[in-house]
Amino acid sequence: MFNKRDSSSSENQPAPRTPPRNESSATEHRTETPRPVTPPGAKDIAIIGSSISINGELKGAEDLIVQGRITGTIELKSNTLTVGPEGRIDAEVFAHTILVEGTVNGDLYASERISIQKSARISGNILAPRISLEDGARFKGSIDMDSESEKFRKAFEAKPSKPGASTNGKADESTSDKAASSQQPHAGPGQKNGKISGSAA
Amino acid sequence: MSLPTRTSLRAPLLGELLEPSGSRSRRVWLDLGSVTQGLIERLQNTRSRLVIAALDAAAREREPDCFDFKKRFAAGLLNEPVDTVLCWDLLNYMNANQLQCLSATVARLAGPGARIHALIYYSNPMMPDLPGRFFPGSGAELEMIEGARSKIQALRYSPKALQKAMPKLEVERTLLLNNGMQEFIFELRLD
Repeated sequence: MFNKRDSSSSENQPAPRTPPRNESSATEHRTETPRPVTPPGAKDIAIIGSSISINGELKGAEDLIVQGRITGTIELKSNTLTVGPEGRIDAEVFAHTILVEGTVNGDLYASERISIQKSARISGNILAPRISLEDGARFKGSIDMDSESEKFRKAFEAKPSKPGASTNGKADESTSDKAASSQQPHAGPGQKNGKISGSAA
Repeated sequence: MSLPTRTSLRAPLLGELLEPSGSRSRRVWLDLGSVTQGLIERLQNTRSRLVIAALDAAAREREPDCFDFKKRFAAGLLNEPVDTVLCWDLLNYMNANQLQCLSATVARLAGPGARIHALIYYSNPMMPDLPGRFFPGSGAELEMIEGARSKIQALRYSPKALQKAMPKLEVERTLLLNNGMQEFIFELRLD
């Protein structure tokens, strides 16, 4: 329920809160913008705007829409990452679901699905049990749909990741899989310090 | 200048390659062309890794090194042996030296028993001057979009000519398709 307040408040309405002021004792009526109530069941969504650039390790437990730039590592293992049309990611990504409309240079790991839209530009490796790709998308790299591989299992093992830990090459795959050593994961420059430094572009 | 034409054809040898083998072992595919949803769908629910080279896009953009295999497939790029190579119509746009280099590259990247699939312009003396795009459907269905530009003379490689140009590969099977192309399956020779 919204609780709207006008600037000309009625006598029955409580007086709006005003911040303390040093210079004047005049009371200032402020209109408070009603805060919308999140409907029950709705998920929180974080948005990184187009002017935002982040360098480092980004972890969270909510869906994320990237319209700016992220370099480093993104870990949203139970949530959805969306790379908007203007978004750019130079990072290694671990998420439940990944939707790409923008530019990605790096490896994408999804436990559920990766959807690549026609405006996407991807250079890297993607690993998910389900992948969809629109005609027109530009992709260079590899698409791994083998959810039984050691690489996939290790990517979504429930263990805390340490800062800089993911800069190591991934462990060898099991003997039941083909292959030798894995490729080096894409590591952003901010990854080793484990800190996020945000800056407006 | 002609508009791009879309052709539906049947490529039985490709269809056989894409059929799930029933085995649950991991397979690595090297697609020299661009990735398509159709190919992804065919490989979904299998333990497959699809490596995309997108050489057709490079050729269409007239990149000078589009067939420089030593550069594009540098050592260490692929860390697992390849089981199947999909060449689509790209061999038609390679000269003898490039074919030989491709043969050597495949021999380096592929594992024992690897198969290489290709489509060669054979019946028609002319072909589009740029590689096309190919969209596998179900079974042997294959949709092809030709380049939008004019035609050039087709090299019309014969099985013997391809064998000579790619000494590491051996022609295993060929099939003439209804659009005048010839479908090839090569096997990697174990010397």
